[in-house]
Amino acid sequence: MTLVKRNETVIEVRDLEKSFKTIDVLKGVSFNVQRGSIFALLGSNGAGKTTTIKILSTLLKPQSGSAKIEGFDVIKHPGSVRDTISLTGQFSTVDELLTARENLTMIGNLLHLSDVKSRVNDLLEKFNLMEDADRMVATFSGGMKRRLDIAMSLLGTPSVIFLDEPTTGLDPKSRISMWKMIKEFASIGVTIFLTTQYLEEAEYLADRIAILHDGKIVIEGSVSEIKQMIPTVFIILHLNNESEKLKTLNIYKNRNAEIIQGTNHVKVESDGTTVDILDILKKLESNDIVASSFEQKKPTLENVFLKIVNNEV
Amino acid sequence: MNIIKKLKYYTSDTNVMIKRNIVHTVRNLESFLTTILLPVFMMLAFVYVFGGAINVGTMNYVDYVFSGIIIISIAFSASIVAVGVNKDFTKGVIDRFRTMNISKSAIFSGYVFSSMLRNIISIVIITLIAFLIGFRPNATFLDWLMIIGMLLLFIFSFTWMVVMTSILANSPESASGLSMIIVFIPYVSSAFVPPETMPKALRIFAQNQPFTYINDTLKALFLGNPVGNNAVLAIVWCAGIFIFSYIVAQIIYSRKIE
Repeated sequence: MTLVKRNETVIEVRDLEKSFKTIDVLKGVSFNVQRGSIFALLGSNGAGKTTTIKILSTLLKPQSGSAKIEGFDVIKHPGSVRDTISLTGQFSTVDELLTARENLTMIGNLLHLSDVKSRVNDLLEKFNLMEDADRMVATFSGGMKRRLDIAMSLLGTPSVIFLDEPTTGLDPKSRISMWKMIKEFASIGVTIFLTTQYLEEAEYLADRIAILHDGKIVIEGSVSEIKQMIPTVFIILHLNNESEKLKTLNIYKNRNAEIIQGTNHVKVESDGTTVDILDILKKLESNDIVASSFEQKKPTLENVFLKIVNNEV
Repeated sequence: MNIIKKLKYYTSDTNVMIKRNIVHTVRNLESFLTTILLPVFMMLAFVYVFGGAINVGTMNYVDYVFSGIIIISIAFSASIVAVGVNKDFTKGVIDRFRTMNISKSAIFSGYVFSSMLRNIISIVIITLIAFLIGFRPNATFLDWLMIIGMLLLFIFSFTWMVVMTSILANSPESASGLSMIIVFIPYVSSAFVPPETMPKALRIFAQNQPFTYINDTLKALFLGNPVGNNAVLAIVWCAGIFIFSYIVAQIIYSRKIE
């Protein structure tokens, strides 16, 4: 059993700034990550997620600001940082011409582990790769490659794991097994820092979420905290034809009404109280529109994210 | 960390890297075979097709061209290094190694030593075939030792140059393209035809470029002729190429993390 001390800061990031030539990618990024938690950094393409992860994993140097991992400064003591972390990049870095076992053994030898053979077998078993252990990786599916990639990252038993878009390009089944694995690591006290474009993923996995936009963290908090920042629910009205749809859109302009593409559904914002919902329905009635049904939907992270991005732009 | 432990890690890491590169060569055998077969075909073509029309004096043409073929085979094999190095750098493999505290010298040594091994194998095969088609060197035992030394030094420094250009290139395709340019340089040397037969500008280039010094040194040693100052110039060029490539490679490597 690993003794897990929660509420202990493992990653401490202060005012990170990084620019490439004339482009400012990070303009003062700060956050903390607690031990054993899963921290998701969300952002659209080019928001600076990979840059952040590269700085934290000692692959890039920031222009200013600081980052500490397990108390070690990533700029002053990159060697000590490297001993405690592992990185699984956005593109799998498995060696395609080697077998799964050879890949793991190579990394084990480079880490100077004393029990490479048994560690490799453990990980092959754990990542469900035993049957294909001696096949060349070039013949593996995307999901298998990603599993091997992460297995390679775990050989050194790191206390902090960086995962850059771990499920990008995976089929739904592989994605779910990846999620399961990530939760397992966290449960034994490993700290997970991941980036993702999938809001659903962050929502499902993360204890805390930070949204990176335009080089800054625009929101940081737990999933429920972030959801509370926009206290609205959505009422989805199921209408019967085009003209009703357009009419409805007009009536609820003040509620940011939106057509859900490809359907006869219109989405309007509400505070979720019965009074407010009744108000929506009454308005429909007074305009002689009959909806075949309606449903209430809680906001997803995607809604939060889009709202923030739209407000900023 | 004390020095002995560091050295132990370096040797063990270098071993792992050399092994990795050798497995790559074995699993991607056709590209290795190409770098052996191409010079062999060239040798056959030069000896049986063009050789008759090229005047190299009273000498047997295969004796004249053999050292040039060896140089071309070393140049051809550069493409394997180029693609391998560049893939590692552009596909994130180096990033993984770097987050693992592996010394960059171990990574570079892996490329260089496996390249030397590949070249030794192909040179041995090409030499055997050359003997079959009438290559008759006059080298003494001492000459052979000097030939081996010269070749190892040349392969070593040449591989470093390819490693350096391959880190610089943005994709495996452009790295391979750059290595093709390098392959072209030996043609404008004394490797296949006497430089005296070339137009003036080319002749000046051909007479003063490193491939010519290396080729003339090797040729003289094979034929048992005096090497003159070619050997010294060849060694100076190789050392210069190595030092320049080594320094530039280190600079580019550390630039990547700025």
